[in-house]
Amino acid sequence: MSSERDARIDRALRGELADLPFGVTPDMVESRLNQASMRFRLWRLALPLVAVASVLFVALMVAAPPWGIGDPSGAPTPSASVGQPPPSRAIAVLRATDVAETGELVLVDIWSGRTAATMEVGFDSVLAASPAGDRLYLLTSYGTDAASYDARLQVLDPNDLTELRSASVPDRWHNMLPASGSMTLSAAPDGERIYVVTAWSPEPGDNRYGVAVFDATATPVMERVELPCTPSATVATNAGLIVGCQDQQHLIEVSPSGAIVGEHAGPAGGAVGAAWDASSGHAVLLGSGGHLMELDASLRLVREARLDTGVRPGSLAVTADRLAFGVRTPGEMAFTQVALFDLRDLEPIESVELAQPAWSMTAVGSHFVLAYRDGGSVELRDGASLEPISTYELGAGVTLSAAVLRDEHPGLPTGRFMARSPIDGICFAFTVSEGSERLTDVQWWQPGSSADCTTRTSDMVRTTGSWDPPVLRIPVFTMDGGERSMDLRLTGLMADEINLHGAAFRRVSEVAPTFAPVP
Amino acid sequence: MNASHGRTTLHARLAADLRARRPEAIEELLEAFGREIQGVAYLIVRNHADAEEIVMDTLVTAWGKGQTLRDDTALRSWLLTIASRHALSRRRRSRQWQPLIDAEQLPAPSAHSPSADRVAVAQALDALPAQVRAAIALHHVAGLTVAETAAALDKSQNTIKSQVRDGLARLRATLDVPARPVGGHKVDVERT
Repeated sequence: MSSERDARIDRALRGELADLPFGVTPDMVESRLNQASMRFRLWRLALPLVAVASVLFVALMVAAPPWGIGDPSGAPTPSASVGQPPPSRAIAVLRATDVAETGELVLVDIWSGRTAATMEVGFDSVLAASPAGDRLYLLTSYGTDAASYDARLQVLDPNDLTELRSASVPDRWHNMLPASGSMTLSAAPDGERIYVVTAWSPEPGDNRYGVAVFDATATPVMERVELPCTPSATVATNAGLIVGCQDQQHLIEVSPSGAIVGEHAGPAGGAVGAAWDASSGHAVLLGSGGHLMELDASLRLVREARLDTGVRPGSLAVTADRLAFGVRTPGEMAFTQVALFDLRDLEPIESVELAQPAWSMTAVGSHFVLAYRDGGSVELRDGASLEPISTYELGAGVTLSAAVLRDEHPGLPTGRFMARSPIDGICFAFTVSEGSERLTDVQWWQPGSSADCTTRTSDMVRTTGSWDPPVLRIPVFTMDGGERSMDLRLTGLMADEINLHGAAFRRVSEVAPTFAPVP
Repeated sequence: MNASHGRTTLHARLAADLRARRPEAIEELLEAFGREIQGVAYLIVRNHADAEEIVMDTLVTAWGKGQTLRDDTALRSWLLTIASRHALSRRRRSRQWQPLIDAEQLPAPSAHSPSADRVAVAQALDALPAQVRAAIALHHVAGLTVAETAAALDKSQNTIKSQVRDGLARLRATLDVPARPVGGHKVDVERT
């Protein structure tokens, strides 16, 4: 009797399992492998070189040559001429160079295309920059000796990639690679916090994910909290980190102190992309089915829409007025199409087919940067039209995997500059020295009748000025013999060289206007 | 004997392909063990979509850790171990967010239905703790030994015996049958 009823249990179990549909295909597993590690695909393709892990625009606080006068002797040079001023000073490119799981971080000068600095890094690293552009943050999943699986967060000087500080990330994954894309590194817009999403495995097959919060100024880890889901997209705000969960319509809110403080409704199908809209101070999240959500600082829903995103969107990037994402083909991690939308009304603007698959796209200022899978190139495209502006070749056979957007920060140029105020027509010149926020050797004068600053109809007046904010302080003599000063903001257009903080400056080697007496 | 020898040969070849990371290993493993992994996973997570995800997770893990597999004959139990751990991990993570299912959409069990036993056993299985379901799935259904199951779930053998015994007792109670000791009665999950 007992075995007869055990047989009923067994038949029930067997029947339930036999009726299960089985839809897993080798392609699906391969796709999952591609997510877990790029190595599978690259072994299949027998590529000797692998993967640039990420690309990052940073601002370098160094002397910049005037736009369009880059050093032509450098190699490699941009393969296309740049039609407008670049949004930043340099590109930081994270590359994985071989199957031995080592890589390098490369700084590329955006004007000349020259390699400014390189640094060896571990495989599967993640890169981010401080909002001010004066620091690089590098998370290495395991070391350059390929023997240590400990993760390390490094704070680097973006000028020469020297390490300023470092900290270990606790409980890192061991014994196998985490899923690609699950590791993220985000700096809060106010620059106060760094959020590191890590994975670890207390035992084989038991994958855990968590967020480690760092004080951006001091680096040591402040707190770490385990996530109740597999992260699929993250975006840092001043109020914390928003984590989208894979295949789940939930968002986890992690506070700057490292605690899970809320769960919110997220985009349908689970977030596949997230970006910070600096112009509105909102977070933008895109779901796998095209469900777009815009959340304010309190994670309140500001607006939502359904975008036509194709099969599986990815690499969401946002500028001040544009939103773009990659459109993938089924079974592919890379995308070959980019869709551009107006961020204000979410109307489609453009859809561009790429000449080669791209791993990722980021926004920098009003531009987008694409990292191509094959060919080892990074491409700068115009944000309004997706028109290519410049391509940077990084070496044959190198594959790009990701691009990370950081804040536009043009940096402080050095040299002698001349400009003309469109408000009162006066001309002025000043010198900017490296490392100084003061304008020195400031002079102003009334130009000649043609408004040409190379002529003058007044004495040259020596005055003062400061860079932050960019103003000139001009003495004004009153009728009663007294004196006061007038602050003149450096706005307006005088020349066509460098545009900083709304002012266009023309770099000159020397200002020596010819004298024309006042009539 | 021939079937056993053939299986051993197949497993040795699959293990070798896996260790060498030959691309065809994925397809071969999927064909040889995919449905069985799905079955074990489904018994633990009780969700078809999650079970298929676990099949993929299992093969990804196997791909990454293939070189740690020392004994070719342990390939199957090794894969099922990985699958059960993925299933328990997924179950643990998803605990907070169970999908909302309209009770009216669930089929009502019928005493006259030929699948009445299946409905009753399925409901009883749903009510068991995931750890107990894992023990039943690996030992009672997949046929792993108590020692293999204990190693897979990182429990003592006595704990596994107890979990399987108690779990089956609750399933039997659903069918209104008396409990019996843990025995060697195994269910063959469909294999290809």
